[in-house]
Amino acid sequence: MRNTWVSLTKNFLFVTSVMSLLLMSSPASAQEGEAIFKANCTACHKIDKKLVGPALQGARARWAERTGSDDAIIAWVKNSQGYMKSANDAYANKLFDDYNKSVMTPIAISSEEVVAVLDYIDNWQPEVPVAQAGGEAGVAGAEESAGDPTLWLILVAVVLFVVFRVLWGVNKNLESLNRQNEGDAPAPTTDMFGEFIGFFTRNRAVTVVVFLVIGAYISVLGWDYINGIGVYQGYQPKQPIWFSHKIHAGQNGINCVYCHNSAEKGKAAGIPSLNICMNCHMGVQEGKVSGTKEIAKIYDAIGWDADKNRYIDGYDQKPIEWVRIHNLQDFVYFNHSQHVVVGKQECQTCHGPIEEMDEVYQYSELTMGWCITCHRETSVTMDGNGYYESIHEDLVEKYKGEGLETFTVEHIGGLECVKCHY
Amino acid sequence: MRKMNLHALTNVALMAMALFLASCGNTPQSPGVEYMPDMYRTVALEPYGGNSNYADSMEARTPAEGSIPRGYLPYGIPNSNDGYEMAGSLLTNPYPSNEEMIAEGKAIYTKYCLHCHGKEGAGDGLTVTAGGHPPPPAYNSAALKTLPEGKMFHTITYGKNLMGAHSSQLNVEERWKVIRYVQTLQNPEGEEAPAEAGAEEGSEEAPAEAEAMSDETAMNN
Repeated sequence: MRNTWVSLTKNFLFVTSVMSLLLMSSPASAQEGEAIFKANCTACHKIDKKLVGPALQGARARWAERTGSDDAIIAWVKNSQGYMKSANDAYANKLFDDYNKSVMTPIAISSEEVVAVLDYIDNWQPEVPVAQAGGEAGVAGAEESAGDPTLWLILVAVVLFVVFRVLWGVNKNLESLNRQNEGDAPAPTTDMFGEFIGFFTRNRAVTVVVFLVIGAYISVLGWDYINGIGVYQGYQPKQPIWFSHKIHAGQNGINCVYCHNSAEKGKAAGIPSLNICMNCHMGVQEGKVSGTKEIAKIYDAIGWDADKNRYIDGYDQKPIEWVRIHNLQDFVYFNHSQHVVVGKQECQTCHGPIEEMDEVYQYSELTMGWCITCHRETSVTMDGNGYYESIHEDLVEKYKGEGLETFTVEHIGGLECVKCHY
Repeated sequence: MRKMNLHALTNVALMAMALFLASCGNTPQSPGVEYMPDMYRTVALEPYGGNSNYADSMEARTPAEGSIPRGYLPYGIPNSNDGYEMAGSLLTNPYPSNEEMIAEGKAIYTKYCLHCHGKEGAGDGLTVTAGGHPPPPAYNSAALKTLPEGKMFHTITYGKNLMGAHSSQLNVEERWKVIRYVQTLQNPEGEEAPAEAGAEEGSEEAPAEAEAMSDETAMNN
């Protein structure tokens, strides 16, 4: 009974102290507080969510409840390590341990400034979420429902054919009725097919032209079809995670090699391992388009506890099985670093406008003809390119007679068979 | 009767042809027709492909425990708060701070740091302004303005707070080079140049030592 009475008084005192603090705080200092908060705290703290450190909403009240004033939290904010040493506060020690022993960087600000930040946090209201996700999803849905135009064309063709067939029948019937009415002998019975054949047997020239046109059309179709065998251009498979290059490389401006960093160092451009995803997604736990759904797949694969903001010990990590899009045959050698570092090519030269693709598709043909054309047309950047200094001098000497000064990949052996096939 | 049959046959043939043409339509979900698929889908193991010899079926492996790449020096400082302080007092950048290093560092910075830390290192990269990532502290803020290079190296290696470890992307050489550029952003106007006087004296007396020292002042200027 006595205990409840004590706790009630405590609560009352605490509530009144918080209320009075709220009343005391002027809006100007809260504005100032926002600026200080954004400059010093947001790297590790959110107001309504755990990040590196705890959610700050109610932190002042939690401290004031224990210690009776703001002094402790002010000392803690200014220099948390110093506070832990001098105050021997079990609560502070536990906070430090709970948040992975991350040291809060000491900041040189005055007590008034800390109070301003605390005021700002007390008065903070969550932002009204922007209804962007719905809009984006709507666009995607509309694109999908439009479907394949060829199906519609075929449907239209079938309908037209049926209409034509019916009209032809009606026409014939009317004709024969007409003949009957006029007392003529009935016309010889024909069908559409017969008349069709008859027309072509009477007009040989038309027949020849029609057959030539149809033949040419079929040849072109056939040629294209044969050329398309084994060419994956336009291949855009569904990936296990809806990862948008448009968002990452386009809107967020992340350089290609940040994730595909072996493109500069080796043969394969590299699929980033999950620790590289986590470099940003420790902080970004919710996407603007897909919410937490897709990001949760990374956490599931690598074993990240989003509630506690730490990796789960002894987690059985799973690979994410991305679907391969670009696939060169086994008998072709291709090296990314050779093209990106030595040849100074942009990724987009071959991969197209990746930064505009939500889902990646194969932009180029990746056929031998495509390689060769590029090697014939692309002049090699030799100025200031250590790889080519002596070669350049030799080439200038060699092609003196022809007056050549810029050289394409062809001139440095880019068309030799064994460069790629060996 | 025969003509009726021919009639029906024509119609059926036309319909069949339409259906056949419809089935030719290629969807982006399919890579298309392959001739001799064994040339494309090789039996040899490909990087990042599957490998049934491993329990997790991944061909991409982390190095076996205890293996050391050629030319590799282990980073002995532990990933802890004490280690962070230790790195700050023990480590020095083996690369001089000259224009070439700063240019190389800038190239690395552009690829690996800029999207979060921003062009001027103010913590306003596009991932922050457009992507909603919490902003990293500015390099020239009171807390980071005087950050020693050893602590920077430690942070790039192990990560700190919301910044992940970048040792898988940047090797030791690249880390030190990018630090040379970051240092120019810590003091963009060359505001504080405490080593200047000492370096000038040194350059007259001991040329070998002066090289390293005057490079530091070059960074500040």
